[in-house]
Amino acid sequence: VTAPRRHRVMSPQTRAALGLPPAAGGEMPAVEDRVVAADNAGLAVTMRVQRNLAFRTMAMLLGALILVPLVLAGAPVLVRLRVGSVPLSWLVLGVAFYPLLLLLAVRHRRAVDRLEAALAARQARGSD
Amino acid sequence: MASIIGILVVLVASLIVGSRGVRALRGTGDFLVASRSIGTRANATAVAGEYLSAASFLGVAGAVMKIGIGGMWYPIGFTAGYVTLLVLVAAPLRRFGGYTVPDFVEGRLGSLPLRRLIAGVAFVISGLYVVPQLKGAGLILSDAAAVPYPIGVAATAAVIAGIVVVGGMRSATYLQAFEYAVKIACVAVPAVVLLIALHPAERSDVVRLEGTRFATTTAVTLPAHTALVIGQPTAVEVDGVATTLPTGPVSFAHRSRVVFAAGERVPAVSGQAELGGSTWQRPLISLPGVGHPLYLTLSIVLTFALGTAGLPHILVRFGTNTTGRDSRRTAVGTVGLIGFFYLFPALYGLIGRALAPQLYLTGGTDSVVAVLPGLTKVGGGGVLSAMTSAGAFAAFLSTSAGLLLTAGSAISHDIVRRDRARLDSIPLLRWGVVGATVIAAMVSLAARDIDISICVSWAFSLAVSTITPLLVLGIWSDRLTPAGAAAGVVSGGVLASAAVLLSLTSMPHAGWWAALLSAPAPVSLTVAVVVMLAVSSRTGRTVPRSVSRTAMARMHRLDPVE
Repeated sequence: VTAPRRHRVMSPQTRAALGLPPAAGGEMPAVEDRVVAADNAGLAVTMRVQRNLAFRTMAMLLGALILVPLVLAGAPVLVRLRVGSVPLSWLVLGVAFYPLLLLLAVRHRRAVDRLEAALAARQARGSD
Repeated sequence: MASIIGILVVLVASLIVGSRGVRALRGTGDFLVASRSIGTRANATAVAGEYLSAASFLGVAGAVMKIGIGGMWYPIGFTAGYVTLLVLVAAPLRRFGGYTVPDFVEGRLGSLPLRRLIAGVAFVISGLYVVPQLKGAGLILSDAAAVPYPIGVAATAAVIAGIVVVGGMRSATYLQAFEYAVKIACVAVPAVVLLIALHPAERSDVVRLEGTRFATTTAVTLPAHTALVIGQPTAVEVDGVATTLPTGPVSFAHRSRVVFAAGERVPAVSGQAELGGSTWQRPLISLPGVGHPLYLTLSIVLTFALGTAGLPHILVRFGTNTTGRDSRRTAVGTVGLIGFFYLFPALYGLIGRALAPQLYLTGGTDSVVAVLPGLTKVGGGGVLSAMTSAGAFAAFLSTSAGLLLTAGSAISHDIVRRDRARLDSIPLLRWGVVGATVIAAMVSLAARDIDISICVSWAFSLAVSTITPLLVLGIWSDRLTPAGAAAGVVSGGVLASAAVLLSLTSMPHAGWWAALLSAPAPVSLTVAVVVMLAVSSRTGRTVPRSVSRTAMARMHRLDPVE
């Protein structure tokens, strides 16, 4: 006869805090999840806002990564241009791209932080 | 000699730094994500330390020297990858609350078989990535310190596994952040010294647009079966006999010592771009014998820019932050830190082309970072060379630490564990890392002749065709089903791997077929996405609505207000 397996019993909140999926069988979401899921309208708005911002930044990123090779391929004369003694294409690929990528990242982070703060403030007002 | 000391200093310092991260470990969260308590700056530094592998420290400079200015697109793609990670993955994945990618998949789609499939993919990606790291560490130890290759590999693997097994993610974090500091110092200081030490004549050689000339009388030992294409009659000494090489192809059947006089033009290696010639100067990626440089550039940049967001060992690092907002800050910090690092490696390639063209002729461009500082005339060249060797070794250590932790957790946390209601045991997680290390070390011993860059680009192709689309669709769309996810991952992964294997075994000569095999991501990623969506729409709503809605709410909820 095999002994029944021992399970550690935890509250849904503990499971959520430990990053575990909901307990098998009882599909009881954590309290926090239920509160959020109840506010479906709020979730839909949050997701739409996040998605629009994500789309905008990804379009700018992929646009730059696609356009610059196209321009460089289409205008070989750019290879002959120099800034001081250094060829322009070296400066574009070796230096200029990095601050631009950082700028894009910082701007996106600020925009998302701002929007999420505004949404949180609105939801807090709504639940009062 | 100086190089051995540099490597030993890095090794001992790493052990000390790693041991400072050791705390009592009570659960999975302590071992895999350092109790979610790493600050954003520390985490960004650790992500950068983990990501800047030998491919970045040595490979970028080698690529710029070998294929030309187009090689600079690789680090741009690597850096852009963190913008993608920031925008599409970082905060939702952290807010979801799992530890690993398979955790996310099971929690989001509620399927245990799918969890195991993804754990297998994560293990393969980490394995492809870690083998070249261990191999590189073994090679650098045998070059610099005459340590036999198997002992070098085993010793490096043992040190890293020791740190990770004892201290888990917290020790790995300290180690990786420390190695970032080592790497940035060891790449930047020698580069700046090299730049300052250039004579005006050398400076104009570096920026010359028409071919390359030997700056000094240069003796080159060509490997057997070297074929050169001579652009203009060139006076040389071959194995001590003075002769003139006529214009056109020349091949050397045996190992030959060829002395070129100062001012002679560097001949092209057959099949490759002429060093400093017009193909070399073109700012697009051109691979030997492939053609279609514009397609290659777009496709390779896209692979890195999207594939980084599908690397399991990077994703698990974003779970160590406390909130979703913090993990976004980590991603931004990483863009800054690795962008700053990437200002330097290309310099070695550009300067190496003018000062050390013999590396191009012997096929040794990947060692330009290690060799070039020794050629500087300002003195201290030995110290600078020791620095770049130590930096390369730091790159192997920090990248392997994260990879072994991830590969180990794929075995113990994601595949072996049957009962998901129970917490992992720390010994099981530790044995997972030991197991992954033993497998990786054995493969590295057998794989001494495998090209580093092929393994890493295979890992990226696989990540961009499997985990990236799975995560992005799983996070941003509620239509994905387990069947759709599995079908997409399998078809994308099979296509990407088939392309790599075909290009190794039966590479066609030039043409579109060669370009597609060299850079399959646009096809394999598109197929994966289409299959995921098509199969999901036919399998209907197999994910219970409550699971799917709770998952979406978790990922996109706002962080609790402090």
